[in-house]
Amino acid sequence: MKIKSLYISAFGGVKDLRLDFENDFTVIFGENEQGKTTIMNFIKMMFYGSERAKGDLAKSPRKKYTPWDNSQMSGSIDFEKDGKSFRLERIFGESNSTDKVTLIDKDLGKRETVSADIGAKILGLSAPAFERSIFIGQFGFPESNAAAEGEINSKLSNIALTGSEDISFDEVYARLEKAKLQLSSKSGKTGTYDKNLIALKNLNEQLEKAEGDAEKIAVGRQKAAEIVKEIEALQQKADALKQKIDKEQDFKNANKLRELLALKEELEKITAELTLENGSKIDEMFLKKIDFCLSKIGGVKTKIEAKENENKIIKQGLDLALNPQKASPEKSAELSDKIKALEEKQTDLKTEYNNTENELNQKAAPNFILLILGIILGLGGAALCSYKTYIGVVVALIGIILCVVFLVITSSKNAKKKALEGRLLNIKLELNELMTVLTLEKSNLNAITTALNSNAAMIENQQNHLKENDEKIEELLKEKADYETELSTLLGNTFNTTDIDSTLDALRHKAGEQKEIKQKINYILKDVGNISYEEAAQKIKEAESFEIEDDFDAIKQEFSNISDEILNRKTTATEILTEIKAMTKVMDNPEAIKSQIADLTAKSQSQKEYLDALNLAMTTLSNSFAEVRRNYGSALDSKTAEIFKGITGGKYKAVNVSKSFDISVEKADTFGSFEIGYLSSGTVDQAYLSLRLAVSEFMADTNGALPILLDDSLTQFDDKRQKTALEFLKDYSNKNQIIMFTCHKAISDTAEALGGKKISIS
Amino acid sequence: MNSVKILHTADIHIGARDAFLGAAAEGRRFETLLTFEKIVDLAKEKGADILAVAGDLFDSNNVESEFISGVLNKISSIPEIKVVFAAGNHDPLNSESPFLNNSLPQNLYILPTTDSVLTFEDIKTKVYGKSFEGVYLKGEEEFSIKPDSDYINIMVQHGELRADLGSDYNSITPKFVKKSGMDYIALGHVHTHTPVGKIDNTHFAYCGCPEGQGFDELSQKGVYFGEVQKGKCDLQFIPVSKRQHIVRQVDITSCEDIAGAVLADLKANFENYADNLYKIELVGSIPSDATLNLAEITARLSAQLYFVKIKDKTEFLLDLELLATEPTLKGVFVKNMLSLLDQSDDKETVKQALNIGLRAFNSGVMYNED
Repeated sequence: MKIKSLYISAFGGVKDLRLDFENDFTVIFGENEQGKTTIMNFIKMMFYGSERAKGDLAKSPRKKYTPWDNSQMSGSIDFEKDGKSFRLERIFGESNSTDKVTLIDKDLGKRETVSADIGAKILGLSAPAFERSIFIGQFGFPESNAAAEGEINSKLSNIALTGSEDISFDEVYARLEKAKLQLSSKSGKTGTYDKNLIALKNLNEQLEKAEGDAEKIAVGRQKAAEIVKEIEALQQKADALKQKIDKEQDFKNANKLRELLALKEELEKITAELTLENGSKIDEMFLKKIDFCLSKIGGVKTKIEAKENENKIIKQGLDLALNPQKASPEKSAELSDKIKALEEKQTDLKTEYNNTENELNQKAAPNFILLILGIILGLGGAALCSYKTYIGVVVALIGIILCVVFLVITSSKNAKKKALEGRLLNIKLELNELMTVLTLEKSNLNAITTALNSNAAMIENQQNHLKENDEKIEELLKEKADYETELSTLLGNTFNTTDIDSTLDALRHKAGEQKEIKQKINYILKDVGNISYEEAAQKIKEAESFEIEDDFDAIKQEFSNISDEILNRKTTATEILTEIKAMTKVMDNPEAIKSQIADLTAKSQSQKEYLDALNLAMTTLSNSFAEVRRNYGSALDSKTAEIFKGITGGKYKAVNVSKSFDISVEKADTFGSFEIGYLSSGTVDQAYLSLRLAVSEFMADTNGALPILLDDSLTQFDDKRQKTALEFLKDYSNKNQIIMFTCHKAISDTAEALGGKKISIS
Repeated sequence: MNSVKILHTADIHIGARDAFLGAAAEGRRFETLLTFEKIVDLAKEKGADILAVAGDLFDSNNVESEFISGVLNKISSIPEIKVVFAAGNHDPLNSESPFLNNSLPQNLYILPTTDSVLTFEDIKTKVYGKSFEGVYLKGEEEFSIKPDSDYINIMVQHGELRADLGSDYNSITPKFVKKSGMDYIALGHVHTHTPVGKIDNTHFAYCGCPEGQGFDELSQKGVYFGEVQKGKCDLQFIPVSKRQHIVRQVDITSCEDIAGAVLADLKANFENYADNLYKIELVGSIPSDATLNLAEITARLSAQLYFVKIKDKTEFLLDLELLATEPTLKGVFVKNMLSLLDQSDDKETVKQALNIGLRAFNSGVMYNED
């Protein structure tokens, strides 16, 4: 395809400009930069329009080149393709969709409206590709220094390897890889996708546990419910047994209760008996009162007696004192003699007593010798009878006689003894009698002696004493009467009974019995518990209708066993419920976990898809790169070598790109290659241009020859190189149309001199 | 004819965290409580006799005490309304239940964990049901308490309607519904509401959750309110959710201001558009050398919307066939991918790989979380 001419109606700062390109090698000379850039962009926009801005509206080409005076942006390009002539007309609107684009088939005179990016069809290139392959600018590296070397390397190698200097396989691949590693790291643990998988695994484990817990809890609850039922059943059994046990107890108690009721009757009876006609109830207290009265009465009586005795003696004394004839010295002497005689008699009797006693003792021992001898002789005699009857009989007889003698002696001794003993007794009696009489007479003597010794004062004293005693006796009698009244009040009619003591004794006895009965009742109540008599009667009635079980011990044992069972079950149930409570506190809800799992699964699924796509892209990219290198490889090398050789006038023969993307050049006449670092910037420029041109040729291979627009590509070249390059380009233009823009007059002049067409714009 | 006004809700999940929200999640948690309060206000406004809550009132039994006291206080503010609650699998009536560990308002009735019935003489209505005791509950063939023909019979139950008894979450079979003899069964557990169904004379429905919790719950959210009579049921669905979860595609071909285009689209299509949670997918074609700055677009949108996440599903404005002819790396890459696309069964992956690969020529291709 060749551009024949272009016409700018209004575009940027350019108005009404027409350029013709009949010559295949055209150099457009313009002093300012803007002019050429405008034209280059015009060409591009004519074919492709302008797409949506990347971001900064100010960079939008459409806005940039809208004419300042707001006149309509428009123009046309005449071109040739595949032997046909066309004209492309475009009136620019606000955007691609509002551009009016018309393609005119000049040969056929046909007009057709075409799409805004018609360039793709005509040139067979996308807009970016167009820019990359048709527009060739400066390389832009003035000095080949260390810092720039890497960049140079990469740019050149990019061209060689990807066809575009800005695109490096490494960069693209690195971006993909970075994205991949973020999702899934090399270790498989730290990428976000990796982490999600680990989290999912954990959640699944958690879920399992939570579901297990929930299951356990449900099972536990059921078990607890069963146990409760069991406990109920057992409890029923236990209650039935308990009833039986209670009944047994009741039955045992029934006898006691019967006793209780019997005692109760007795008590009532005795209590009735212990109630006097006057209503007094005889009890301990009552008896104490009675005893008190009686003892008081007794005491008073004794006092009265004592006083009366005293009076008797005083009276006696007074009597003697006031009656001299009764108490005289003669009387006194008489009594003394009597007493003496009595005492003598007493002594005699005592002596006799002692003698008799001695006699008795002496004659005590019986003559056992006689008896023994008698027996021996008797027995011996009897024995001898068998020998010599005569002697034996004699001996025996002697023996018998001796025994008889013994008996006689003994009995007479006994008789004597008895007599003596009788005598002793008599003596004793006599002595006692004597004693009594003696005592009496002695006291009589005493009284007389006293009377004889007493005088008037003493007599008056005694008389007063007598009076006092009488008064006292009066008092005492009164007291006694009081007590007797009280006694009478207490005892009522009983008091008047003849034998009050025995009556009282009987009552005391009864009261004692009553006390005993009460005690017995208490013991029983302690045994059977405090129940009323009505309850007791009821229980007895019940017990009568009851049949005893034979084996109470067995029942009791069973009851005890069942009670233990119940306790065990209750403990177990409590344990289960406690465990359930503890588990409920800490367990997770499976539902919540499930929804977390669902979320996370969705997330990681999405990540996985992306990851798969990344991997596929990376693989394809690598393969494509290899393919490109293969395709390009030598073809590009040889093309580049050719061009390079030409541009450098044969000085260099090849530009090589190593596997590690190092660029080196080969000198024509020298063996080996030079790395970029060793080259001057001018040579680097040449290399760059060569590569670009080679790439363009590549594009052309598929799409047909395309015009090359050079944007002041030779400025870095020194004069010599410039000339060589221009010569080369002139030659090159036979294959590809070359349109070169420059603001260096020298270049344009040289080009013209070489046969190119020079156009000046200002 | 005796009738009773019932407001039926369930699955409020107070205290739940919306999985996507990140930093905004705490605020959203309190919104669940606000939703409940809104429902209570609605019950009062409509003069409901019964407020039936069919389970999962709380997201778990471990929610903070502020949520619990908030709920109980709100219930005590409507003493004239009987609030009947059947616990669900997320807030079962076990030892950790807030309903067993706090003093309850007079008008709150908690159904025990065995088949039970509550009798309300003043409205001649009996309410039947039972609470979940644990995370799982086995369903039964029929309810063990028979209905009373002198009363309106309503059941409040959390469970799963299905043909058999195989669910872990209280299977409710058609047979069960039929035998229950109820006038209305207020169901909970399913988060999407269903139309009111009927078997013989028994009506039943799921009211769904009143406030969505994630982008998997996209349908209209609300409660059922209406009158129940013997054998008749007249219920309306009332939307109450504060915010909706919305997934939407916006075509940004030839758009200069992407954020603006998205906002315009949302404004035009949703009432209270600024309150919702959005997952926006950008579709259409963009120039081949353009890059979308998703962070910038998200920032602009977030300034106006409660919550938004963007996914880039745009395609390059490229003539791929043409590009495939270029002998450059890009061209060869495209050529190879296109031939893979022809051969492969997994076209989605290949498409995505092609897209990513092309983007990688211009910019980074880090995975963007949705």
